[in-house]
Amino acid sequence: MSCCILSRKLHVFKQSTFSFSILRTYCSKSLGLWNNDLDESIKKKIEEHWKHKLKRFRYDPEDNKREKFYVLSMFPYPSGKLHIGHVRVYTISDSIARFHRMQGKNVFQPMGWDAFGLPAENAAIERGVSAESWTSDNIKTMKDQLMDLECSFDWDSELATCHPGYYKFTQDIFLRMYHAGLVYQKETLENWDPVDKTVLADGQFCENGRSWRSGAKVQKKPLRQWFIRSTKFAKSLYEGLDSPILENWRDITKVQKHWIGECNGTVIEFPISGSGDDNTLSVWTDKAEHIARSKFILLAPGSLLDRMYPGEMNRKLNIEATNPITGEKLPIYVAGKLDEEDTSAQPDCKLGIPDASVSDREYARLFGLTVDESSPLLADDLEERDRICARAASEGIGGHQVSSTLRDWLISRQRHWGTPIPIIHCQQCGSDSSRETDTMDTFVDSSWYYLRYTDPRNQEMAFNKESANKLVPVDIYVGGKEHAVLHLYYARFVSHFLHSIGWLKEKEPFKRMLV
Amino acid sequence: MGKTFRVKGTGRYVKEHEVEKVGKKLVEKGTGAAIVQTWEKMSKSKHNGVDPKQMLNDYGVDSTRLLTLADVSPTSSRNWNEQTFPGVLKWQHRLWLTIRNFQAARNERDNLQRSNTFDEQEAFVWDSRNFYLKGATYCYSFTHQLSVAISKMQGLTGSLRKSSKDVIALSGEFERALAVQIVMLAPIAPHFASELWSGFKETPGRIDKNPGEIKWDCPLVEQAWPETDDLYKLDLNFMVNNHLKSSLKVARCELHSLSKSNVESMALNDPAVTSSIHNRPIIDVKYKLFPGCEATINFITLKSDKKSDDCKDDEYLAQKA
Repeated sequence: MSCCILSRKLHVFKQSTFSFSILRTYCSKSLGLWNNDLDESIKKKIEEHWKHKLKRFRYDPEDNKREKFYVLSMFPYPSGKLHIGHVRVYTISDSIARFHRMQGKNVFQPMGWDAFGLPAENAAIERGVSAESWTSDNIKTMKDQLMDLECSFDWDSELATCHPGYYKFTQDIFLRMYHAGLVYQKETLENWDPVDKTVLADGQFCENGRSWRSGAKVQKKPLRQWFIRSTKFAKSLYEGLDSPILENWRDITKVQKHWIGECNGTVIEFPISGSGDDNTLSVWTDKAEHIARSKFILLAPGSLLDRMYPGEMNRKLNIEATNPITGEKLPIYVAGKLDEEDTSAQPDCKLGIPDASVSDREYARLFGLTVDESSPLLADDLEERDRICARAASEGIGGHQVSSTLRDWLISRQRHWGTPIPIIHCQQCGSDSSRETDTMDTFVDSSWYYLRYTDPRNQEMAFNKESANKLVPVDIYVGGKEHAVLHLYYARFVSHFLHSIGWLKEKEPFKRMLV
Repeated sequence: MGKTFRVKGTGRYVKEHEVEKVGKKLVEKGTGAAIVQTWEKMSKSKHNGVDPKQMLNDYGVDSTRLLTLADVSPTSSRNWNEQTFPGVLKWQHRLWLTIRNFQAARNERDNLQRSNTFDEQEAFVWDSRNFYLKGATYCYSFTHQLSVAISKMQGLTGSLRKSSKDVIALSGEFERALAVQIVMLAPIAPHFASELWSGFKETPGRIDKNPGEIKWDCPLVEQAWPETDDLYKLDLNFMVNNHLKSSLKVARCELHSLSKSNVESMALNDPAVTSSIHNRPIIDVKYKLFPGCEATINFITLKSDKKSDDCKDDEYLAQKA
């Protein structure tokens, strides 16, 4: 009698521990092929023999004795089949998980699917199948492949970001950000992929200006888009990289710090007049205390307003911005860097304060503005700077600390197969309304999946705070280097946000990165 | 990265089986065109992808897992080169032979006598088990360089296979070391290691020198991760400004009981440490115990190049592995 049949029969007499010990002894016998040389056929016999006998481990949420250990591996996009990079990541993660189990830890090693995205839509168009069925077929194939690899995942916690049971909570988190004042809509100049017909975030195209996905030359196009004010957490995210809970992040810390940039200034919203709409201009300055002395606003070449009102370099635009502190109207100029050798990035939009900055004085001369050449430069006043920033923050017009180059998170995508942005537009209550048709960047889906794993069937909340806080921060996060910038940044941002509303005890989501 | 073949001049991609070696040069079969071999990002059009399905089919699950992890650390970009495969596959066979020889020697145990090198060999096996266990544990827990963990395991196999028949059959230390060998392999190759474990347990003449260490009634994957012996000497490293100055060998049990201040005064009695500190004020002392593996104390003094400190910590960890 084969062991499997015995196992099935014994299943009926579950209460009999006696039978189980017989089963265990019986099952753990070797095949006795020791006198044969080890070749591929014997290896396969061994694997066939042990496949169903290896213990299926799972995390025990009730166990408070053993130390928890959360091994997370970056979940795959269900493209159709595993590639060798997946095999490597999941073998590493599984070996580490098995090691920690043998060290007596209560290991949690979940798996799921980053299931929204363009390839499903393209496949649907090319083959006439629905994106949903294409995706679920692929998940099935790839899950079988992962099972073949004998990865000891907690399959009970499996999830897919395209399931309504998941994405309604992606929407829930979005709405919580909305109510916290972190979501806004704005017309901006965006990176437009003419082949995939969608907007791309900074970093989703390469240095030669081509889309990573489609390879098309990216165009600049003005569009009204949804944003998450991730820059509000810039300082917290920058400083979090020095948190003592992070172990051995090495060059990832540098990559993240480089992306966020040193938070040595602030952004304040200036209303634009004469443009015919209600847009504001996000103006960066590192001398907010002298905002009352500002004389102009400087736009980098190629920014939205430069494109909307084209002309020569070093010109004044026919619109003005209003200083929100003084109510004074300020001219807007488009100009490049003063020093062409300067390799640092130019802020898109910077406040010009000739009384406080040497370079602003030079710009003022360039634009023909009157400058009091004899007066010394104003000194920094950190107390006043904090006061102005706090005032801007309380008025909801910015004031948070941020680097000159970091932008907010553009999450609008003009695609069908994604998490719908849960907004209904209406002029006034009772009038005709229309549902937002944009969907979210898939980086939103993958920014919180490791939290959903801790409570994947909860239909009331994104996750139970208590069960999540028992498991996070993740002890080790295994994945590809290519996700050490954007994915990691967005996941950290959402974690810092959820910490700020009291859902998470710890700001940082991942203790150790293995990429 | 995948091994890639291109026709010299045109840059056309060709499949590996369309390439042959003529003398020392690679040429395309049929045309005889010169071929250049490079490493490029894998893609279908370059015919350089490794299909996991094919690998599972050719080598089985456990060998695929081992081959994926061996030779290259997780943080480096992987060059797929089948040339490195035989080493891993041979090692699996050596493990297989180790069980075969273990069973054979044990079956003859009544006719065997201890040779005069028995004690010496047993001491070597004791030391090897501790040495390689310490190394593999350090990789699994701290550096996560599983390729290095595999080479530690291979090191232990080398030591075990030096043992003479009487040691294999009659030594309790050999039995302990073989158990550790199989347990260490379990996280990476669970099926193959389980089979080795069953072969190990079924062998007659069990000695069980350290009762409780091996859970004889439990399958392999439920074994506890083994510990280095209390009397085995581990490294206590003394560093100044992230540079290793000297180190002491301290028995595991003693090392675990030392407090940071104990270690600090031990280190400050070492002339190599004091001369490096060179009377500069100490601004920070970092102490870290890696249980069962080693411990390191690091004195940071004033005037050290603060900027390079952070990364050197990590470099040190990487070097250790």
